[in-house]
Amino acid sequence: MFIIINYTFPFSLIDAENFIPANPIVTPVHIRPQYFLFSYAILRAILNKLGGVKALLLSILMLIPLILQPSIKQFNKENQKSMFF
Amino acid sequence: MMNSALVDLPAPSNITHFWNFGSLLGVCLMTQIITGIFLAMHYSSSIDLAFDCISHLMRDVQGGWLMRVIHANGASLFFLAFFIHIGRGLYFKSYVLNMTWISGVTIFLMSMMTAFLGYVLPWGQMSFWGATVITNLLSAVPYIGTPLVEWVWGGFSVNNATLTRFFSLHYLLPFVISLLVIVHLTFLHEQKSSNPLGLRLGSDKITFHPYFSLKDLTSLLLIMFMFMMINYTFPFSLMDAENFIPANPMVTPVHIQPEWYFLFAYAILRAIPNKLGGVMALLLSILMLIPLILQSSMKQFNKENQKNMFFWFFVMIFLILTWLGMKPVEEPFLSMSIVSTFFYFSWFFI
Repeated sequence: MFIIINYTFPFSLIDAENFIPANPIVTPVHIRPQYFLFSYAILRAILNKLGGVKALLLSILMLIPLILQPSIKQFNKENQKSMFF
Repeated sequence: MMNSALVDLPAPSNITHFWNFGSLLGVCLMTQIITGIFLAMHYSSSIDLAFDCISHLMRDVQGGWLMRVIHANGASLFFLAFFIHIGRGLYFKSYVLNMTWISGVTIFLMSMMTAFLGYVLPWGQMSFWGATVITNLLSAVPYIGTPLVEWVWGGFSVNNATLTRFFSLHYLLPFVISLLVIVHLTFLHEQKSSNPLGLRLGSDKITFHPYFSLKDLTSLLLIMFMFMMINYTFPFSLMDAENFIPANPMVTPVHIQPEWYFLFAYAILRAIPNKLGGVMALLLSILMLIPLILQSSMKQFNKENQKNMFFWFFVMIFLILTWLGMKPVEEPFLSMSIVSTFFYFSWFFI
């Protein structure tokens, strides 16, 4: 499927703006990243600048404290709530 | 893991300062990678810009000259440490550690390759002509020689495509070398270090820290002191004057010669009149290290005084070849290099 995309729609994921050479005088109407959109949304959701940056970092770093949760518990014994979420 | 490799590692109690060069090589590799990353920030691998990038780096960038001088002379220090490290291995029969030895030879070959690629990047006269001479060696390969050379060049001569790919590979290979170093160390720590008395590998061990961490640090400081002394006082003493002239495909320098650490191999290359023969000899000059592992292992060191005596003969031959490598191809140097090459290779058979 990856190679099919490469051969048939190679530019489908590439931003049209990036076919224009860099020009510091002209700002594109929409500046947005590729697959980082979820953290980009988090960054923009916080009004404060530093707060936004922290939220951006935390959006990934929040994965680490998960290791504190009780380990080795039987997967399906765990209450269905967290699975549902 | 860090503990078992650097703190509690059992190390032979009697190893001398000759065993410090391994860690020195590690420091060299790290220095080269760090300075190299900073150099790459100011470098552009285009034939139109490369030489001017270096010029800009040396003149305008804050501390840029120091980065470059450390990186350029660091290669010399790297190979000096390599030669002593390998010489130590030959003298004290470290090749009884078969896998460590083979991985070490691989690291050495990769480093030579990396050093050659790096030398091309400033795009001076010697860079260009060095690249031309060495890549042309591939044309000695039977049948596919010429297509192979053109494939490596990415064109019909050393050109922009060659420079960009050399830069890319020069950036890549040090990380491959780092991985190989981990392999080298893993084998070493599994088989345990050799020692100057040729005692059984497992015997008489003390912890690495503090004994050898401090011993390594002592020689490291001493050598770094001398190294920085060269960098600050004679930074260009090891560089070829030709390489301060931008590359010009129309003008061939009178003497094309590599940096000092490749001169021995260069002398061997030129000693053989046949092209393919020369290239084979060049390769074998390093690869001959590998069959050494077949030699009777674990033999008592001092039982073989004869070979140890010949070792110094080998060192002399190595130095003579290095000297011959920078001489023009004419008598008496030509016949001298043929004789020296013969002795160089015969050493591996005694």
